Amino acid sequence: MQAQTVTGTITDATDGSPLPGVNVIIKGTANGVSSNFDGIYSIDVKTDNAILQFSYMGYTTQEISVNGKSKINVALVQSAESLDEVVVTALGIKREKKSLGYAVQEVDGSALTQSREANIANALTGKVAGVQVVKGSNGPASSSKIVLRGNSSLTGDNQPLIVVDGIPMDNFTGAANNDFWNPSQDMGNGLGDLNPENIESMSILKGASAAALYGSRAGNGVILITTKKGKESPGLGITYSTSIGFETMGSSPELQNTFGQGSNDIYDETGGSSWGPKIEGQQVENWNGEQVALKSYDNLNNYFKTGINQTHTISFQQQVSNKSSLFTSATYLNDDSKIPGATLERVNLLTRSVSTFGKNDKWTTDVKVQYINAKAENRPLNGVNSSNAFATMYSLPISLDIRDFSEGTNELGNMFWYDPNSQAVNPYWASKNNLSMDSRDRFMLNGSLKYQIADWLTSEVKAGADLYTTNTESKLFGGSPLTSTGRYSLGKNTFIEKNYSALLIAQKDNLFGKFGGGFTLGGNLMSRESSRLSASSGELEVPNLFSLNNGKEKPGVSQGFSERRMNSLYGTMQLNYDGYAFLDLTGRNDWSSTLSKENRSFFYPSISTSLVVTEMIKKNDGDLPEWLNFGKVRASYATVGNDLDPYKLYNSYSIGKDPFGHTTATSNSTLFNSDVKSELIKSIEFGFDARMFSNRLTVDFSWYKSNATNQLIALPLDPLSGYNSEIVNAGDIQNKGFELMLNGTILDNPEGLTWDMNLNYSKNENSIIELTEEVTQRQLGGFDNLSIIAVAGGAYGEIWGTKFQRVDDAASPNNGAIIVDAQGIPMATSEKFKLGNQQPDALIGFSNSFSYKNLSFSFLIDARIGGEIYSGTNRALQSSGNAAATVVNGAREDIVFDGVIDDGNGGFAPNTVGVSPQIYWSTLASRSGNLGIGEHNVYDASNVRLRNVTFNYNLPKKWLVNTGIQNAKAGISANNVWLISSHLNGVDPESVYATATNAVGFENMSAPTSRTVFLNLSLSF
Amino acid sequence: MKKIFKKIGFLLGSASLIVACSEFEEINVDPTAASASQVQVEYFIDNSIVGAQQNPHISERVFELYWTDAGRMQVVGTLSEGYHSDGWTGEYYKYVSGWLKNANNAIKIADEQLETGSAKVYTGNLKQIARIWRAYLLSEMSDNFGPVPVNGFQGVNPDYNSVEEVYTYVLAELKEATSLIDEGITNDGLANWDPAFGYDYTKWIQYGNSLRMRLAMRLSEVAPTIAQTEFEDAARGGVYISTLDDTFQVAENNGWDDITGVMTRQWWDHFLSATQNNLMIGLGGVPSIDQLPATMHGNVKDANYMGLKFDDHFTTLTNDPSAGFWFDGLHNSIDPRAYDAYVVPGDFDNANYNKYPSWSPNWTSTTERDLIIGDADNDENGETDDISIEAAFTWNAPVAGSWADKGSNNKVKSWGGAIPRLAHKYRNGANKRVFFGPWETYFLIAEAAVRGWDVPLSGQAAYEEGINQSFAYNGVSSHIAAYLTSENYNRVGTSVSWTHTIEPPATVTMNYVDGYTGVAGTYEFKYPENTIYEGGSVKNDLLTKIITQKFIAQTPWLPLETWNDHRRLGLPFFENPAIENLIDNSPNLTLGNYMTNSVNVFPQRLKYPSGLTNSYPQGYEQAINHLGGDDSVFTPLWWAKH
Repeated sequence: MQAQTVTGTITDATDGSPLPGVNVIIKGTANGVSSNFDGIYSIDVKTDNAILQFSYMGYTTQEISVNGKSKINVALVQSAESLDEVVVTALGIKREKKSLGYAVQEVDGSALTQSREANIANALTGKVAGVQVVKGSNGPASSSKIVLRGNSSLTGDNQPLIVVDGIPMDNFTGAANNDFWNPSQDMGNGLGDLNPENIESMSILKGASAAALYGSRAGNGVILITTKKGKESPGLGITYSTSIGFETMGSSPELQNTFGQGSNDIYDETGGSSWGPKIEGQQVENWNGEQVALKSYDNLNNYFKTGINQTHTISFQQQVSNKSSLFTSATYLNDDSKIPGATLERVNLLTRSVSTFGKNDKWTTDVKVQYINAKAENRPLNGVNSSNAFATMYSLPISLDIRDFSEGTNELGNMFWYDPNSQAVNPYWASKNNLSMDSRDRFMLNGSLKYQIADWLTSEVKAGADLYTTNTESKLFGGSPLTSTGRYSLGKNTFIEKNYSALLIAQKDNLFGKFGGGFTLGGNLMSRESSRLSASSGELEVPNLFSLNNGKEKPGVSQGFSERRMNSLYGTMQLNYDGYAFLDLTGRNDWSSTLSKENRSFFYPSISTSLVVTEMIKKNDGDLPEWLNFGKVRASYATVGNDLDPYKLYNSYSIGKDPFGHTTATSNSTLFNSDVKSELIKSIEFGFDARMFSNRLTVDFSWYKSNATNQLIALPLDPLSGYNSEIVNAGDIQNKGFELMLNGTILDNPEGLTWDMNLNYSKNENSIIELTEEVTQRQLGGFDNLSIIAVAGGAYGEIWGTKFQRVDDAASPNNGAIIVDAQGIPMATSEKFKLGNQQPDALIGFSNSFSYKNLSFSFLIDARIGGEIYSGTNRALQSSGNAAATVVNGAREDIVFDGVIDDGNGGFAPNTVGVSPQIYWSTLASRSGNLGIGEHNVYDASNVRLRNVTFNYNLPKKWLVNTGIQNAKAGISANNVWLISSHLNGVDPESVYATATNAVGFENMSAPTSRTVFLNLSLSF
Repeated sequence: MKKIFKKIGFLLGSASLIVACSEFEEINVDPTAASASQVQVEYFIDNSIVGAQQNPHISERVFELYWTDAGRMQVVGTLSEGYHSDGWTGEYYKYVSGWLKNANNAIKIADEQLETGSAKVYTGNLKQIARIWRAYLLSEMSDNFGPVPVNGFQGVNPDYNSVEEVYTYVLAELKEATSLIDEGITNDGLANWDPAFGYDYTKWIQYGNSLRMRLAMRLSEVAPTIAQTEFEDAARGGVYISTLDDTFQVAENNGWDDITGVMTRQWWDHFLSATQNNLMIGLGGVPSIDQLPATMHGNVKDANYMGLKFDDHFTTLTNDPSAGFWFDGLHNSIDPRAYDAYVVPGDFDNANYNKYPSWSPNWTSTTERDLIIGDADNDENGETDDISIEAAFTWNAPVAGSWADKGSNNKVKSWGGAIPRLAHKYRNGANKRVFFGPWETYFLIAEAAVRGWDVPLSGQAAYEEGINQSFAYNGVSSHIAAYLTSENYNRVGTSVSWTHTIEPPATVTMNYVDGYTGVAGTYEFKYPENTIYEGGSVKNDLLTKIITQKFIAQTPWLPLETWNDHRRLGLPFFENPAIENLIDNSPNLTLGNYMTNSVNVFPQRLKYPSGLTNSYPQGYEQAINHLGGDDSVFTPLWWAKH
């Protein structure tokens, strides 16, 4: 009998992922080792009949006899008794959840694909406590914004850092310009490029402690995405899945259908509103000179078609040899949306291979190549302008039939429309003649090489990049009010972020007595470069010849370039006692190229601790109540940051050209200050986890408070100072809240019905403790006479606008009554007042899933409680006489508003003057500015909806015998199924105007939201 | 173990490399930005002048929506009805600040170059030119808002100055800057960077003096002594804009950039305004048949004809003397500039007939429109009582304001093919935008002479030369002789002849036809009382003549100046908008006073933008204190009529 070394890999039996830190002990001895980061262990045994015991928290312990084998691979099965989760934490390190002193919520890949959302950001809605998904309503390639535990910054987009397999990914969002009149197109969000089917899991690092290792990039939280790896599959390992989706209008505004085109109750075939006569089938001469019977049409439903979305995925995954695994997948998505002309096409290719090699399998490589091409056509145009097809549709007179205009062009090749003199653009014409296209080629690459230096020490080097080029082109044909000859533009953006990192991981239990511990040490070099080139012909000379040199003027060219680097060193230290008490310390130092030499280096520490109370009691021979399976308390403190964008330290001039082609110069609009520092966010968090009743009920609660200080604020200056703003460090923005997650297995019968119920509840209070000494308000977004601002002493995202004038005299019997003018119409204040707050009070996600044998069924209800939104669509509908509210009991009687009128003697008398609904509504809609009296159209944004319903059926295995098919699954899922409760007269509060601003409490004539139904089929060979 | 430490040592070694950030300073320099030593004075001057030409974004908001409306070059119903948009104003505030910023940058860079010895020979002259231009921009901004800072652009929020301080400052600047330009210095190679004068130093001095005369005259009512002193000093040498060749004007184009014509957006109609029409009808007595081709002579009506009266379709709730009538032909005589600047409806072959918007030819090619009686006629209701109006070869300018049902039933009053619209030459982006023409200098001198100031020309000579220059600009000089001696009254009771200052009779008996019945009748036409000028009793004094001529001559380029003159003097006569429904934003205009003119129904200024109130409340407070009244559209500026 000789001593020998036994090695092997320990993996999770369910997903094949390696398990680090598994205790491997020779049974009956104290000799043992633990597995490394990749689940690899190596142990010397002295006797041939030794038995190895593999134990790991949350898994069933396995014993295996050596019997002369030198290689023993083990797949551990999760134990039902104590479902001790392992989660991916910062730097991709898998940790037992119980050891963490902060909240991390992991979402399984299958949960993300359930809803078949093309944009993975949307799939998070309602699934994670503390996450708000703000959706844009801009067609199939629209952006969505993820807000983790509230906004921490006044500037920027407050989007979390997205890290895919250890490499950061650019998650730009929305439009570059969110102007009220002529915003640019919503260009989607970076995360939307990913294929949900390739994702193994997402870890949401909500708080600063969880994210502290990402330092100055972690100011808005971090989301870690792990893509799939090859794992052993029965059969060939090939899976084909497909889904076909049908998209229709989700929620649409409530419209009247009793009064037709015209004004002052008089029919007008060129009128732009529905203030005409009552529709009684009378004969009128229409816009085309034909005699027709006046009737109403359901134009929105007639205009928006049924969108078709199809996705096909072929994936292959296999453990190709015992040392190498491979995952490849190819997906094609085509979304021909309900909005005429708007489409999205996306191709995703991914290959990932993991190999172990070398002596004792001490080396591991993991290489991934991901290619994405996303091509969107005719993204919707927003804003208050004639190109906004939705604005045109919402205000279209009820008695016009939009289908009459479906040809778009007349025999002369020009656009036609019912009112030949209006600036409005026929939306059908626009869908064929105001064309835009953008296509992004994106590569996301990473490769790592690991080497196990000792059984307790591993080193790793990693390199990765996210690089993309987006090409844009837009063609506007002539023959419309927009231009008689056409316009053309062409552009290209490139982006490259490269990261190189090295990491050293040490881990050892029972280091000194019952103490165990570990540390990691690493560094990262990051560089990011983006450049942009765009050119526009301006108005074309030769009509419809789309060439940059065919402009009436010289083509306009613009360019952009930015480059930055960041070097970082970081380390962690963990200490545990007897497997129930844990202490983690982390630190990261960043050196950023965007700050001055003095302020370039900054350090972000964190400390967190967790105590598994139940384990402690057990280990100290205490008694636990029967029903309590697990209980843990935790606490943490951390600081993270947000640094400055490039080129914002030193003032300079820019050179341009005047229209004659001569050189011009100007100074910048922002006054830079080279003394500014990085933003600093300090955060504290407490929480507990508990499992009860044989783990059938789990509770996870977190309370947190974070203060974002040293805000890099572009403080507005009077433009007559020479600058529009000045960059300063100031302010204190606080986010305080709690998150509660409840999970109950109500029925658990593997042979019969199981029923899981899950409730997420989160509440975040986002307030402004201080701005600067001089400034107490800062605008987050302004839309004519409505602003969304941050107010010192108030909240982040207050909605301010004009109010109704009211009697303000406590002594008056009319105190509080609305004052009307001589016409009997309420008057507006000239100042702006707080009208609401865009922040929700609470977000709730409630999901239930049932399974019975091969059938499974689940649904998700989510609710947003509290907060307000301004609805510009409601205003526009009121103004045009289309809103249902403009008709009362089928009639338009004069309105005698319940208010008071100044009696001229310092007192007030009740209003007795009646005013026609047309004058009443159109006056209110324009009084005090383009958005009318703000108070009139601020609504409670609370809404409850049945977000998603899915139904799946696994075909019985016996049906598949001899077909070569290992597994077959069919299902139906539906999204945005039912808006159960809402307060915007049918306008969906989720159709926010712009996601790229922090002013999301504003809605104005975007596309209606969608309801989608998908048929899904998946076959594994 | 040793090996392990070695490896750790290696890692730590590479870590120290990370901390070396040697390239960071270099990386953080924007490769596309220029330093102070790379920019030239003329780059900023050019940028400032070109910017002030107003690209379509800003020209729509300021030139079209505010100035043409307030100055009655066309009536769009914005400021003239008390309407104000914070959005438009905010944009203007930002833009004009940008133009001023570049004028100040030019001065700053010139000073730096002069100090460091890197100046060119002409740098000193360029600095003076930048000061003249800055003075104009400051006056433009102040004339819109009132109090503005004279000492801005120092990188800190500036103090606001009163309008008086602003005027004192710009007048002093103009005096000094014009005196410091050395005309003997070369301007070789510079011409490209001055779209107005190509750095012809003499012309800049002329402009500086003419501008000083304009701004000095602005103080005629509030500070007559200063006005006189400054004016006399500026005019003394006779170095001012005196010929069309001296005009400060900048070539336009028709695309979308800074120099795109301010009136090129096709959705604007630029209808002849009621104000302008009342000034021109009959003025100068030149018969239409002498001005128009023979084909139209049949449409010319008698001198005492008033038109068709349609009580249910034309509002009379206004003091527009032409209100209530549709003129179904061409006026017997009219100012010759009328047919040049505006084109007769139906005159499709006229190269200057504007056919915007080009995408809806029907708008300008259809001339026949209905007045609806009851419901619109159709087969089903069997009605046939609508009245069809053929608007070809007619000349009308319906008053703006609220027409209510009369408007809904009147399909002709604001129809493109029915109402004279501004000539195509001003719309097509092939013209030059005039900032200062010679006629204005002469009318300023004429006014100074009337005030008894010491000026190089007599009042009459200057007045007649102003008209002469304006006729030349409009290409109608052949009518000048008859015009200058005419004693014909226009619709507001003013004549041309300098020596004819007899007031018109209170009323004139005119013929008209009832549009519904076809029955002819007579109408006691009453000249309107311009109650804000000399109590409404004076309609034909020298000052009224001068400002009437100045108004017509400034068409269509200088609506800001016609607004300024009306604010300063109450001249010429601006009618009140119609109030079939009360106008929300103009609460002082009521059914009880719509026949009376008063300062508080005419717009006086722009409100400050909310950006200022929010971001710099201290500055806003200073400004309002200087303003001496509410921050409202109706608060008169220091130099205006109160």
